Amino acid sequence: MMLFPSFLKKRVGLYAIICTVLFLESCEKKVTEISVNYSEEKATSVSYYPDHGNKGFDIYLKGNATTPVLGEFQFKNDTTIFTPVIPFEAGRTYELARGKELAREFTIAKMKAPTIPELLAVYPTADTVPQNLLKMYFVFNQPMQEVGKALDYVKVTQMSTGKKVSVFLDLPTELWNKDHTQLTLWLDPGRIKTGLIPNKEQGLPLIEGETYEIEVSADWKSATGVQLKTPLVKKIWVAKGDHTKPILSSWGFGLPTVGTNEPLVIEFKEPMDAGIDQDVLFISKVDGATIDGKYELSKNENLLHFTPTSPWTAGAYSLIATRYLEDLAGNTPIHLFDTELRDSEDMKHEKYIDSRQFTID
Amino acid sequence: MKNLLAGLSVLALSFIMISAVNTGDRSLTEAFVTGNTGIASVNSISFGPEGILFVGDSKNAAIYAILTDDNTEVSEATSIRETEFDTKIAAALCTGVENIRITDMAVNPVSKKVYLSVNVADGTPVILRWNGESLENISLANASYSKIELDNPVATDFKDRRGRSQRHWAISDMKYHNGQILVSGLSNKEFSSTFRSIPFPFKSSQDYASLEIWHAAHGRYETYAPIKTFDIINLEDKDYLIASYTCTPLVLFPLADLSNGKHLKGRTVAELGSGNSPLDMISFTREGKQYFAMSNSNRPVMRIKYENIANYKETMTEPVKEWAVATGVAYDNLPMVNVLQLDNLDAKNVVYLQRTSSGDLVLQSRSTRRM
Repeated sequence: MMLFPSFLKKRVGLYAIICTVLFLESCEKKVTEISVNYSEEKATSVSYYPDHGNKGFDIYLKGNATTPVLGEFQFKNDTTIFTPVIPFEAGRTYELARGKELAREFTIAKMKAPTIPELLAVYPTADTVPQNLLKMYFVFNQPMQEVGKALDYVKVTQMSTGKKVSVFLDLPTELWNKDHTQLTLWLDPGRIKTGLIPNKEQGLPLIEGETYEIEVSADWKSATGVQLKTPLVKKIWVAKGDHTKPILSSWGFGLPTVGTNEPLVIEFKEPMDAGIDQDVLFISKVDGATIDGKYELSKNENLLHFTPTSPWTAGAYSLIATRYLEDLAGNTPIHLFDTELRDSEDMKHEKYIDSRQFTID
Repeated sequence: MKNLLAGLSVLALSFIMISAVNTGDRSLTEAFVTGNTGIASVNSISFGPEGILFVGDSKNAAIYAILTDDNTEVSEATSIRETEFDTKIAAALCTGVENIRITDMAVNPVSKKVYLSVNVADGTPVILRWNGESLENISLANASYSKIELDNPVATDFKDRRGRSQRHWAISDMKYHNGQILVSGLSNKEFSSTFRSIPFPFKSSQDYASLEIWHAAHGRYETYAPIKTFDIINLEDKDYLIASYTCTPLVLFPLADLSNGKHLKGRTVAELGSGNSPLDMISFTREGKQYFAMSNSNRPVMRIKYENIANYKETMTEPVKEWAVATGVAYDNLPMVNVLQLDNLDAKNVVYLQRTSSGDLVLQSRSTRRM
């Protein structure tokens, strides 16, 4: 049986070859499923077949077809790998496209078990604070978001009026530690210092005898975009202002035993600023060698436990305070916070401002 | 013969010029290394000579100098108007606008291209360049750079002391001027301000200045007030640091006196009103006269004539009695509000980031004739 005459056979053969080439060509263009590559729980790159070479493809955030995602394309072993400058974000959808030609879209899966951020502590930890309290620290269990304003998440209510009040200084450069786990908020120093115009106009940030509720919103997110586990409400009652300098000679000492790593316990007789570390108070032997150790505060920052790295040896020691030793009101052993500065001793930047000797035997 | 001599002269001159440029290049960048900068945060950026970008990193308490290789001289910039600029940046960084924050902006005075430092929610530091059409990433992971760590002025002299300091110094502003990086900042532990001047190319030395000001809004002398933004201006052939503080006192310090590490008393020349915070400062020339402009959090951009500052010989000593009242050197309010970043684009234009009344963030240039 002859289905096609011979001249037609030739033509069909030619068409078949052309179709196969076109089919293969179209197969080459078709992008396979896009794989998302993770590193430390971050979607750091995507890869797909084929190797596109530099054929004008880009990746876009879905809904924004004009600004391509910044990153680097690599082409190897028939595969294209794209590494964005910032990792792809969990829950967002992206498109691989060339102009209006959409090749594929892909969505980054949400984290299965993200670590929930928590607010571990707010300093001062006591519920009674002096009326001239200078700063508060907020300590989190993981790095918090580096955008937005912290003060959008920290609201203060004056309980007697039920009104929200502004007590913290709004600084464009927020003061976080390096890990972004601890935030310092200042109560407006311009309002604390008596006689200054902010003080006259707006009054003291905290009023003696009043109770305030500090509410930290659960909307505050970690650096990985996860909200705080729970909101936190801390009530503070405002006592009279602290207008005395901390005095080392009045402090109590609980001395450790020679040959042990027992902590040296220092009783301040008042709560101190929680930022005590080796830059604030340190211990040295009479020959000048400094004792390395761990600092821990307890009893609402009234007690310091200093645990040495090496066992104590018998001898005379000095506890040395630097100019950064402060109580809750920012008073130092040589300077009251609410003092007008003139050409006085206060201007000098001595490093060490007070010391106290003790002997372990 | 004449032609030959002229030709040889041109050749010799070219040789001298090329040599001069090369020598300059080498001396500035000979200590540079190539690799991962390790920059952990970008709080402030400022251009130095020959496309060198200075980066202030608060997290690492360090200043970095990065070679951008963006050295093609452009005398006049093309005009800029880019709407939804934060949306563009966010999309380029895989995210939404709520997850980014533009921390600073600087124009490369050689190429006239705009550089922006951006914080992303997860903390990854980014520097972007607007090339007139699209955004480009400036790699911090593979760059030619040099670095200087900011000394901890708190550190004591006692030996064998270890442990990580809880003290963190946040850079609030940074400028390159005549071979010096000038840096202002504030601490998370003490309400105090330190001003540093660091020679470039980086050496081991860095100077501190403790600056005292008369704070007219407060009616007091202050050393604790942190500088928010500053600039260097030249008055009567003398360079001055002009610093603006919270509640906007404007204070002059002779720059020559800053490097000696002494405690310096500034001359307060204006109190531009409390209830406001300065954001950025630039100087520019308009119709042959020099001006200085400052953007603010709660007031329009203010323009002050250099000659008015030069002619204001006194120091303010009287407190401002009424809240939000401005005194001292006269200024003009420009019809520019909500300007977040401000820089010189070229000799005749400035560029700024502005949040418009509709909420849009616009990157825009403007002739100094309209400044």
